Amino acid sequence: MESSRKKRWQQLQAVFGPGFKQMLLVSVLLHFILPILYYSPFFPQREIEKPPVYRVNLVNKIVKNPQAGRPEATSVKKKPVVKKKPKPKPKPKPIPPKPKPKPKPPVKPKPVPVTPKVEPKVQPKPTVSKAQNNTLKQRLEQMRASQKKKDSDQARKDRIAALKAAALAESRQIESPVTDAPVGMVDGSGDEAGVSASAHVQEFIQQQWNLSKYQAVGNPEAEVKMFYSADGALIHYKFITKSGNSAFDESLTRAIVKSKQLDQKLPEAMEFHIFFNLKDMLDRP
Amino acid sequence: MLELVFSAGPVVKLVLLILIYFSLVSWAIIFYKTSVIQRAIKDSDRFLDFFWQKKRFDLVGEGVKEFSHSPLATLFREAYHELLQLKKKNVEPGEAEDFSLKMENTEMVSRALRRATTQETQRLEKYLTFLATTGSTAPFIGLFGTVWGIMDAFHGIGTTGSASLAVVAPGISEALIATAIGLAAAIPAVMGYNHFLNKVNILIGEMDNFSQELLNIVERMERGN
Repeated sequence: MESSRKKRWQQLQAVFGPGFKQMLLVSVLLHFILPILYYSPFFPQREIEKPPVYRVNLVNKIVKNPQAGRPEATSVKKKPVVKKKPKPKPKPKPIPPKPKPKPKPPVKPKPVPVTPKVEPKVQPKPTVSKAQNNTLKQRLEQMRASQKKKDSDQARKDRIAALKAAALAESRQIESPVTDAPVGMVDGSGDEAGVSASAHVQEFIQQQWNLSKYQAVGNPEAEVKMFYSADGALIHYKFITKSGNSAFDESLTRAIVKSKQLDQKLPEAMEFHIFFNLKDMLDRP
Repeated sequence: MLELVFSAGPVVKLVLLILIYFSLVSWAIIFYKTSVIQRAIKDSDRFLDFFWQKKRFDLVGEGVKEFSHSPLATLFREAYHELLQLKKKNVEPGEAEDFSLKMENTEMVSRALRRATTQETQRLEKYLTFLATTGSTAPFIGLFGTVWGIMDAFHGIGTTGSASLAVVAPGISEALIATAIGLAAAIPAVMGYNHFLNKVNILIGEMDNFSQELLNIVERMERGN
């Protein structure tokens, strides 16, 4: 009896009771199994669909009617356009009345010869049994279905490719090199947030422009008329007034030619009259 | 989930290790106690049937070894051993029978039963304190890890100077896993503690009832002699 009492006392004092170690092992196994189960196909992981992210460049976007720009924006002074006096138009000469054409005699309708209708010969139909017809139909349907599937796959692939291309184009558009173009115009009166197309084009050309400091003499100024398509491609340009400094004019020509493709699309095909002033261009960072 | 654990800071990792230790031991105790208490209840039921069937202490004493997991069987064994000791003393020649002596015998058996009850209660309640400790402290330890992780996250926000979700969310997510594991360790521990405490209380009640019954029988036997 004493031994059994002692045994019980020892059991009470022991850290691990009889059978506790096995249970600890079971617990360890359970803790290993649970994460394994969590990552097993029994518990499919929910993939969070990432919502599409649309990045819109509102700062450097070219707009048609820019709103009033920020106060620190560099204003582009426009020369008042001197309207040339319209030349007096020559008085229209009186046009002599044309002699009336003589009435033509009525043309009699020619009798149309009536040809007897020839009935088309009926070709003998090839003899096809019903079973063959059915199999042919089935094959035809199968071919149609496979063709339809291929078409839909191709359409899906095309759509994805178009979306990717659009996203790429958009990302390129966002990373616009033109950052110094003033947002809006100082005298802007529109309601669109963005850059004036004219300022953007001027800035774009300015970035392509360079002139040796030895050739930068005086303060030449040239007015250029440019016509850009909606895609941002230069269609036509013309010097309205040349600066008189041939080096400056040539440098402008080179810059304009380099800017034959803008980095962004324009709201629409547009014509620009831009004054390029050497001092202004040199002052710009 | 695992990448969150691995990408957490050292303090959060330490907290997670402590919580995993708590969880491991808690589950081991839950399994162990389930086994011990189930066997105790089962053997006690069987022993009570056996006890009331035999009606004689010597016969019950012979068969009591079969109910090694029953606390009631232990109680009976202690009481029977005490009775045998007293009988040996009383049988000694030249001693007159005294009623007061018989009352003392009952008292001694009662004391033996109380001692056995205490011992069995301690055996049944062993490790339950760990469950209670886990249940009450694991959420706080987890919360500590979370608070530390959020502190780190805010420090990161201050360093990067950006308060966007992309900067804030991963840090908070890493930090919150500590609270999640703390709760995962605490909830089964609290549930297990309450369940086993209830079962142990039932067994203690059974032991008290059995002790009273046994004492009555001993007293009746003494008076009958």
